[in-house]
Amino acid sequence: MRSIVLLSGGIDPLSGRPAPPQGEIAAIGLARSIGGAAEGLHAGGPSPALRLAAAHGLARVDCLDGGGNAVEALATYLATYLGADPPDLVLAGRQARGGEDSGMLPYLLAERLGWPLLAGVIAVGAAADGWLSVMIGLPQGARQEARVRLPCILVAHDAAPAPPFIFDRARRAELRVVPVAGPAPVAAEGAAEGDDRPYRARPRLIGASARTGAGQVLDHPDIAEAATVLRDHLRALGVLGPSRGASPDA
Amino acid sequence: MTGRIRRDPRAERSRCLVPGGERPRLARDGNVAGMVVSRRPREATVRRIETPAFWVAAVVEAVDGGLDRWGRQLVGAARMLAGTDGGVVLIGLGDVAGNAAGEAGADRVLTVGGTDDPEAVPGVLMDLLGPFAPRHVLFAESRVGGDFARRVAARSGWPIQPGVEALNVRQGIRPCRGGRYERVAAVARVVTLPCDRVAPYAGEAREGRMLEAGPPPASPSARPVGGVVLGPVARAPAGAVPLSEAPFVVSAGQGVTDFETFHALARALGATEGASRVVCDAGLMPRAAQVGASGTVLDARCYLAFGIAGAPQHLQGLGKVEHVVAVNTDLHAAIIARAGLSIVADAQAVMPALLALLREEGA
Repeated sequence: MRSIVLLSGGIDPLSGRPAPPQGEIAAIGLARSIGGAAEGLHAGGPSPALRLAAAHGLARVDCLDGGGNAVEALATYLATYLGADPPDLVLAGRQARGGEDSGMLPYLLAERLGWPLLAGVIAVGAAADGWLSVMIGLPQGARQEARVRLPCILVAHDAAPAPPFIFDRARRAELRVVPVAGPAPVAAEGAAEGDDRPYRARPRLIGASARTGAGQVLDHPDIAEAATVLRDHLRALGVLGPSRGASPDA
Repeated sequence: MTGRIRRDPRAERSRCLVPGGERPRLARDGNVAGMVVSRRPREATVRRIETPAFWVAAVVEAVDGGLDRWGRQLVGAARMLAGTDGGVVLIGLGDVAGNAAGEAGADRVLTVGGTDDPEAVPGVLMDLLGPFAPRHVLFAESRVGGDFARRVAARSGWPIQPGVEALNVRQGIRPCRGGRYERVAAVARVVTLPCDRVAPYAGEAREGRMLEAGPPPASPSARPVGGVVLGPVARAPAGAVPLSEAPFVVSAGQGVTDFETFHALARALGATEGASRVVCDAGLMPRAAQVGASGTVLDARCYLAFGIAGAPQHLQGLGKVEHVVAVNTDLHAAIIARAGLSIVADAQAVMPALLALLREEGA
């Protein structure tokens, strides 16, 4: 199976130095777990972050030159340049880091190609009869099985297992510039709207997080009584099953 | 009996005084008569708006038949964007009660079930939103909300502002370029909001009228779906939940020496195990279990700490935890000040007692 990982020219939010976002490393991990060929794809010029991303397990990254906006360039590349050998799977991170950072690109590409898209993929299983079984990561460790028709676009969960960084791979990775025919690049709609200024951290709403401080204090209670109070308190909070104490999955 | 209301001169006089009754109230507009007018007991009023100038929609996931904090904040943001002329329509994913939605600031409520197929979501939502032609559509920047918002924006071509951290009628501000810059722009058609960024609505209750969704029209936005088949949701066994996602964490500190009992108790409680730095340094618990600044920052609902004093670095890991329960011998430990329930006792004695209690119940 052939998979393509969409890469952004990411930066580290703290230092501003080139670094691939966690979600894209997770996407590379998913691509490698399927087996088969995995390549990187980036709409834009070669950036050092691409080499660092390739160190997690990509032999080659194609950098698209031209082709209008990113979605059009990627769609043109997938349709024409890979027309004879199209990918089965396109993987992306949840959000790029360093540009618009809207997380819209996989959705726009899916809409443009008419492919199904699934977000929050934490593991990929086997493909059979043109369908791929995947595992979706839900909050608090819950998992959901899903099947998706190939070819498809998968957005990796940030917590999907990340393959290790191997320096030698970064050195050997081939960044290939691919000219893509198309209209002159135009800014995506809404991208130019508004003005940028240095980020200012805004505090979250005061008192919104339920922070209970200095509640009930039992000073040297009877141990049996303390255990009962603890159990009843946990039960009132709803973290302990109501009828039976021991949870069956323990 | 005439229908005339009897005057109550004493009440009228008291209304002309400040609440303590010590001095007369200052009537800046000279409307003393307005104070004197006898008032009937005021009924809880509900603001109704029949034909608003425009609509603002909020797409909210229902939690246990109501709205959670995030949902109320979304409706509050929609109410703020609607102002006095606009109306707020709440699109509930799941059942939302009308009066709860009205108190949160919604004028109309539409509920939609069966959004299991993510491929069908943009079609369903755009059919629902179509008659309202909303000026803005608000989503939560959650796993589901963020996904739905992006699908709707991609299908409709509406501009989207994801992850807005500051919102008012004129502009929305969101981080961009790796979080090192923020983009200030007019509020887009589709907006997603992270939690705790906009205050919930606190004004007079709105109508919250339940609407019936009409029959789905054959819209051009409909597309053949069926590319995705979702299976059942499997809740993780407590031991397998990553510490950063676990809803219930039981944690051991220096006050715990009997780790056999601790592990047994964690299993009996169905909780994920955590530990303080000292315990991890000593090799008594794996490093992955460390809670705090140099370990894992929790997102748990409940945190049960045995023998942990609560160093500042440890408490940093509990920033988002709603309920902290502490068992510690030191009454003046920092964790006692953070905890909702504190038991000043030896953790080594409390753990077996609690375990025995749970086993007795389970048997």
